[in-house]
This record gives sequence, C-alpha cells and structure tokens, in this order.
Amino acid sequence: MRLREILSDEVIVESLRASDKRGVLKEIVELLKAKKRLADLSADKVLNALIEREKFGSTGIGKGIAVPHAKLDGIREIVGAFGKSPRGIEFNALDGEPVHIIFLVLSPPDRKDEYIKILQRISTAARKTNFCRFLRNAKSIQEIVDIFQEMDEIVQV
Amino acid sequence: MKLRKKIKVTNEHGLHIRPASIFAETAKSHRSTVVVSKGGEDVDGRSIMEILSLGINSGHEVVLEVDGPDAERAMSALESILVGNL
Repeated sequence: MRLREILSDEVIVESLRASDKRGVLKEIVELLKAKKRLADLSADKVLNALIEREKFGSTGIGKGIAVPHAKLDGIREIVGAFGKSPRGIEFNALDGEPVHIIFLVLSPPDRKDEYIKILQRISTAARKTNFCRFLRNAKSIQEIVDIFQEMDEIVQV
Repeated sequence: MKLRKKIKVTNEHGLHIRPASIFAETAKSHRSTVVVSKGGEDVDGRSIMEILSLGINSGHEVVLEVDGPDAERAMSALESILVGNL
C-alpha cells in the first residue's frame, strides 16, 4: 500500500500545535473527524483506542518517527493521517528520542496485513534514504506530498 | 557457535511494532549477533527499524542466523517470538 493511497493533502498537518503525545494524537484525530474519515465513530472513541494501544508499548519506532495505530470496528477501510512536530514530542520512543514525524493509521480489525505493509514501507524508507531528514525540513504540505510520492516510487515493498 | 535456522512465522499478528520490539530487545539482551533474512534481504535482528522493513507477516518464512557464545539460548528465545510464544 503506497503512502499516497492513504495520505491525501487534507490529512496532512505540516506543523502540529500540541506539545504532548495525547495532544498530538487528539489534534490529528480531530482533523480526520473534520474531514469525515471516521465514518460514524466519535473522535473520542478513536483517540481512546490509540491511547490504549500506546499503553501496550510505544509506537515510536526510532529516528523521530511514530506510527500510532488502532484497529476499530466501524472503520471500513484503512485511514491514514500525517503530522509533523517541529519541536518534537516525548513519545517514550524505543530509542529514547523525541518524535517529530507521526504516521497515524486506523484499520478495520481484519486488515492487519496492510498495517504491516505500511510499517514496512515507512521503515524501509527511513533506513535507506534521507526520508526522515527531508520530512523534518519540509516547509509546506506540497513538499511533504512530494516526498511521499518520491518514496512510493523508490521504495519497493 | 553459529546457528542457522529457517523458521515459519506463526505469530498470528505477524511482526508489527510490539513483537518486533520484543524481538529486537531479546536479541540485544544476548551476546550473539543476530541476522534475520527474508526474500534475500538480511537485516540486523537488534534493530526494530530493520526488522519492520522486512514486513514479516504470519505465514512468512525467515532465516535466523545467530553467532556467538550464547547462540543456542538466543536462537531458542527468538524462535519463540516468531512462532507466537510471547
């Protein structure tokens, strides 16, 4: 699954305002709700599912990237969003570093394969290219979109 | 001692973040080096980012190569994670 299939311009936040983990997740979920990506689910329900998942272990996978995720009944297809935090968020990430790049993924309970594919694409890009640095330095949504498109072309998974 | 084993992943959720993290931490807790191979690609088993980049799902086959003084213990512990005994 390519990044651009789930990350359209309207679900990208170039500069998150919140300064803590719960705050940035809330900010992104509220954007998804506003853009009608949550079907009949409330923003609170989705946020609580994400927070519960974080309690099992941080989705901060290192290099400043987090991939918060929740499986939800009521979500009919994979829903994604992206947010960037210039100041960095304490996310209890696995390498102890603050998170600047957040890929949020919601999926129906029976679509776990796609989540692993998305993780694969993101982590492959993070390993093999200057993906992280380019994203952190991007100054506009268009620049972020361009980076996603380039990664989708370069990274074969 | 160097050990090499082909393992079918039967962890029902595949290696998403949580099992990959447990795998990497388990690998790091041993003295042996750990290489995970899938589809011709080899990665460092102590790096969660590298493990995730393999996209290991339930039903996939991987090759685990462990080399060092505690290779047997490491192999046993890591195999357990891949077959779902967390």
